[in-house]
Amino acid sequence: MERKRSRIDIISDILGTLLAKPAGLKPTHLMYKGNLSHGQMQQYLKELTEKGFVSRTRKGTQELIVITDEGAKFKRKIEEMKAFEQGFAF
Amino acid sequence: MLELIYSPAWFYGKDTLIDLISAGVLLLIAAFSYRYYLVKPEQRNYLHLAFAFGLMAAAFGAKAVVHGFMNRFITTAQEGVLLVAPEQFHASPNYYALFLLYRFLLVFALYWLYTIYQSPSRMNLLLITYLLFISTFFTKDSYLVFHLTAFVLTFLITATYVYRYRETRNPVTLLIIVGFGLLMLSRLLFIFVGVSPLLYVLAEVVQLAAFIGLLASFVRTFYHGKKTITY
Repeated sequence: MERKRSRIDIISDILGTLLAKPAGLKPTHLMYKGNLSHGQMQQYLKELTEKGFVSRTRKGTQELIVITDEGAKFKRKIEEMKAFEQGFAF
Repeated sequence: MLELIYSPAWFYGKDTLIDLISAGVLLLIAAFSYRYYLVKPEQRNYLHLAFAFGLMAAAFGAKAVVHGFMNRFITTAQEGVLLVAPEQFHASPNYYALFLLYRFLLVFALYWLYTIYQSPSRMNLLLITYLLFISTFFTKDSYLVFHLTAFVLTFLITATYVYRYRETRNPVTLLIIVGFGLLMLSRLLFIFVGVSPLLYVLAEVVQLAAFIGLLASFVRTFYHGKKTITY
């Protein structure tokens, strides 16, 4: 059975999804790709926007979520942490 | 009567440098582990690892200070072994306090690191800590007991990582195995320094190689982050 994702795992997944689409992603697409409920996604997006890891822009009538440089840096830190954690075999 | 220090005269001072480098590497890993804990507080093993590596850094820092301190009391050198006048040597309580602190902190830190993977009960933790304490402070052959205890603990830690590596084949774990394996070897060499002063040099060099191995494992985690994310 797959273990439940931690908060940092969900943030990592969101940032990873956005990193793969540098031009931005619609919130609904992010919700499906991140495997999140609407409420969860709004909660995480609020936190990530406040921390400056993502920004919201508009392209015509579409709202897009875009990863910022700070967000990319944080995703890199998470990857370092994962490598560290796996290396020390926690 | 003079007291022996098992180091060739030409090597004296260099061991202090090796201890400082060792402390630096350990402190770096401890600091990053603590930073990671702040990002992911639910993973308490980061905190335990930071604590264990921080204690080891303090231990090697204390040892470096002791060696620097002893340098003041060296009176003569014979046949490649430095000799110290014990009346001066023992006169300072700071020397003994720091030296015993080094020994206790190192074995306790190694044990703490081991407990990350073995999760003993609180009572066992207290019992082992007590046994480490008395073996450090109240043993006649404390030099031998200390290095033997450190050897056994590093062996258990290395074996734990080997066991995990067989499951994961993670290259970072392999570097950690190399690091702790060399640290184990250095403890073994320290036991036999009475045979030849050159063994002391070899033990210190192997210890340096051990910490270079640990540093390499740490650098590798950065490389992984950089390789995964390019922006």
